[in-house]
Amino acid sequence: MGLGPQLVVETTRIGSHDVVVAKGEIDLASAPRVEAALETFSGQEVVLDLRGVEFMDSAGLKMLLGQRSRLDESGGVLRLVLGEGAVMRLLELTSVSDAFSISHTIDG
Amino acid sequence: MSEATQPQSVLVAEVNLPHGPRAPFVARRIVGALITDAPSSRAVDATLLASEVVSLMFHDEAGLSVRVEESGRRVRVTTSTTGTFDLGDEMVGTLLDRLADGWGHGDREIWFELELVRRQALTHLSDEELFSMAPMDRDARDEVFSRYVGWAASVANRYRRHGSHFDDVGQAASIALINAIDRFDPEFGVKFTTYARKTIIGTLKRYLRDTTWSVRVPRSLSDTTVELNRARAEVEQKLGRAPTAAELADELGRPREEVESALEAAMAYNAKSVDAPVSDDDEANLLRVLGSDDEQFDLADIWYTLEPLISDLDVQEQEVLFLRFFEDMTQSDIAEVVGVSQMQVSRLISRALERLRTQLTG
Repeated sequence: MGLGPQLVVETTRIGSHDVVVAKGEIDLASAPRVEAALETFSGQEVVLDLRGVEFMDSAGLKMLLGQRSRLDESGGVLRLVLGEGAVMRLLELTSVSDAFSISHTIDG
Repeated sequence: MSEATQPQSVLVAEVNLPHGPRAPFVARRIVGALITDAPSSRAVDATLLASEVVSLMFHDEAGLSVRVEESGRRVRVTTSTTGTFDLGDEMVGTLLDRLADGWGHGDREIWFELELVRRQALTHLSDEELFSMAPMDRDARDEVFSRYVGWAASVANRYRRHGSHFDDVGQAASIALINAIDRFDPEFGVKFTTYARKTIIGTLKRYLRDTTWSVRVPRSLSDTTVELNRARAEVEQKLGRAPTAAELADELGRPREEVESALEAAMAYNAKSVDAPVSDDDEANLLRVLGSDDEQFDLADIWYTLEPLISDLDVQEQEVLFLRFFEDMTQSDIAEVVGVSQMQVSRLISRALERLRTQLTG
């Protein structure tokens, strides 16, 4: 159990989609890095691929809710790509899964 | 001091967290590492809650520490701060409510508790009560699992040979047990062990067939199987009944365990072994072939082998066959259970066996 890098964030373009891929753990310390990547976009759809995220707490969730609202207001949309893991569970536990556009693949 | 400390609790560790935003990350690692021997889902819940509480208390200037205590089956995680915190955060409250078995706070600390093993209270419940909870309730499932995991291992034990990997077999049996718990319905009208045994043996056979038969079964075992079929017919004629594994072993001059292995091999891998010459009394004959008195030679084996064919029978035929050959009930008892006459039971069995035989030989 290392204390090494806890999150890797990459911004890329896949097909016609702007995609931010996050892998690792999203919490108080690392959420700002995802936020910074998302904030480079506005007025368009951004796909946030969280399938590689093994842990996320409410610090990450609050950041996602904030970015969803910001993109919404700019006429864009934040779409989450999720598997069955920790992120989905957190969304369900906190009853906010309906607040997000969620898909299982980048293409939706 | 706060109300947080319980009698008989044992301090596992108390750790000062580093200053800075990495504190939640470190708290998760500490809590995760100190909670061992727990169902993984509960350990994950504990790390999530630790992360939440530390994040809530986080200020750059505050000193934070995490204390982990054990009290029986409970683990209590207490996070203390030298600063202040505001519990107005709805999300953290929601998560504490949903995931912790208890939580509370003082001015400078928040504690939560988790049952990391099955809930004590469930040990007083009967199997029936547990099964009525099981599909929804993780604790009921854990409790049933803990009651039967030793038994499942003993069922699986006979398959731990031919050099198959010990742990693989045990693991397959545990998985089969979980599947059996999930699918079992008391409405089936059979005992849980009856149902689970069938599932476990079925799973192990599929497992052994997929992974073992072609590569691991020693050649001598296949040879023994052929020899065995000859010997069985001879001894049966001599004794006027089905020989036990021990008697066959004597006849063949081979170790009993090897004979048992061969019997199992024949049953597991060769459905033709029940396609023996059949006399005019079908039921008695199939029973003789299937129902040796030797408990090692289990009816469940045959049931599994025939399962694809049995599932083609109509429901009442299946039920009657199951009760007769698997539960080993008499025709009169079956008649009572199913609510038909003993004569009808007899007819149902004959008809079902006839159809099975046609399919086996056809």
